[in-house]
Amino acid sequence: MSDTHDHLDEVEAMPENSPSGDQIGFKEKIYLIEIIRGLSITITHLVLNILHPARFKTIEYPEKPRPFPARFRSKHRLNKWDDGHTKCTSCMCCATACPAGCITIVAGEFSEPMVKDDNGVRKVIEKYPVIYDIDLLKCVYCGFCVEACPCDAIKMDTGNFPHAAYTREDFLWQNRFSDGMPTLEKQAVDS
Amino acid sequence: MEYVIVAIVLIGRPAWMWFALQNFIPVMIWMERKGSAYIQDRIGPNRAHIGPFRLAGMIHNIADVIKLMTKEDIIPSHVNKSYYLAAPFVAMTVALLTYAVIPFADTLVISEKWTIPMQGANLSVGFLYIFAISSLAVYAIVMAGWASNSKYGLLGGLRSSAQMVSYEVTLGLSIIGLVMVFGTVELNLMVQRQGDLLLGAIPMWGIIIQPLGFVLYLICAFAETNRNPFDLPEGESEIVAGYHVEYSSMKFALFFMAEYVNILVQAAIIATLFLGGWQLPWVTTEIMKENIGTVLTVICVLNTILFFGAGIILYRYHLTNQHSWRDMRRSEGKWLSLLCFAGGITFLVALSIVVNYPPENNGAWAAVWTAAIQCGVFFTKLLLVAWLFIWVRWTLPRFRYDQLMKLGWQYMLPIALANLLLTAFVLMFFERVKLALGIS
Repeated sequence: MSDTHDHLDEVEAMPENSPSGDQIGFKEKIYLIEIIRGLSITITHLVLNILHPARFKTIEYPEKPRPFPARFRSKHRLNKWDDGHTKCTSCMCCATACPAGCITIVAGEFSEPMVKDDNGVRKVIEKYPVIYDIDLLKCVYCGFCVEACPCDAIKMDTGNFPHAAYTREDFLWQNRFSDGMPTLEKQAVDS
Repeated sequence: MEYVIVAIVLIGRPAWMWFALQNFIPVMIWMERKGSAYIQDRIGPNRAHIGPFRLAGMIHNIADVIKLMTKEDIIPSHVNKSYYLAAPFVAMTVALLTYAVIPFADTLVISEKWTIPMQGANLSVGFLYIFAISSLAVYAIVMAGWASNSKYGLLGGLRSSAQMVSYEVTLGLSIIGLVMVFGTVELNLMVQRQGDLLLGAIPMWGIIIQPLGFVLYLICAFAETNRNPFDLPEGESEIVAGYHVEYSSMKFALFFMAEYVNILVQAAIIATLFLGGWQLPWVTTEIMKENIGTVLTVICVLNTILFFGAGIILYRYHLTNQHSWRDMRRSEGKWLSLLCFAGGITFLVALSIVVNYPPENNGAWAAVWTAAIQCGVFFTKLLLVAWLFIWVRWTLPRFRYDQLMKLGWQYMLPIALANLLLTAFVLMFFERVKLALGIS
């Protein structure tokens, strides 16, 4: 990034007609002309804003959600195979990578190994998580779990993020699985 | 019939006196909030609603009143209780009292027996009364600051009183020029004189014959009402809220309302003395009375166009409005446009009545309608000047305290005196010319 400082030259060049502190002329000293100039600036803003409400930059939040960038790390989601089985193999990579230690996984074993076709690659899966919990109060939303996951099982692309809740338990995102199929998902807070 | 009219006027006049000023307080607060928001490219209050009606944030005033009334009313243990309690009432009372002598329409002549001055009290001392009463506003602030028995309160009261006392000198002097020109201190007479034409074309408003006096008075009015750029009594970083720092709930609200009433009163005085009061330029009371049918027709036509136009604009706003309110607020535009159309239809009906049964020119009803129209003109001017107060507040930074005192004593006072001297010379010159030419 060699051009980082290029714009500094423009900043240093002050506009010539703006008086600095010790160069106040007669026009500025009698206040009134400058006051009228200032008033005209503010009334211009007022009139333009009345005529073109689109000028407002305000996002009226709860009614109009703020559009997030595509790579925004939002609340987590567990990916599924087409037949509904969870993609997670409870390899513990995410829990190991997690700097906050907010992921709780209890591994379980399939009654018989699952055979999945992952875009032409044959995969034999033996494990699934019986419990997959994330404490959203501890989570720092770093996204390391997503990067660590070898199976693309955990994603942070729901576009939601936890807002507020009354108890700590409400921030616990709980998933229960039986033989790879989700049996319970307790939505944490109102996301 | 005559007694009916007299009864209507006699009941309507005090009711209007009483309601007008108090009901302009929420309007002022609304203008302050919404105006400042739009000046600063913000949206401003727009959420509180009754049913579908948000009225662009006007409903927030009701929410505020409920909040202020239900708040805990704290009386700190260290205050001087009697003065502490009296101060907000003094502030509000004094602010409202000043309004009593402002004429909001020409003297109403219903018949020879009934001539009703359209002002609270027709005092011959006129604006001397205004100065006498508005000077008392300092007492409320000193009382509040001193009785609060706290550093911030006392310093705020001190600053405020010093400022008001200093600027009152120039305030008084800047009007003496007008008194010299008009030769009276009675406010209604001063407004009547402003209906005369200068050189047969320009209305003789105070602002035209005393432009310097107008500027001086305007600046002093800002200082008198403790508004920006002279809002030294309050200073977040130095003395917190100044003299009303120890006040809470409705007692604070009284100070808050008194501030706005003070602005409205100063705006009323400026409108009366410098902007022709109830005078519609070039249309005197007599002309209006003689052509009352035409005047009412024009007003009805204009209002019909206005209401239908507003209805159409609001409906288009409703259609293009992408707000995702999840309740009745969604349909606000529709309801408002419906109300506007109803208003338009009302004025159409009024128009047909006025055209078919025109009021008798120069009759008693003509006088009442004239007074009503003049009242509307006066309050339009008042609100425009009041808007100027808000506009200036959101434009200018504030003065430092020494700058304020320097401006008041070293610049404004000499200029006011020079203005007086100049006015006296010009008047003397015209008198001599008149004498020389033999015109009385």
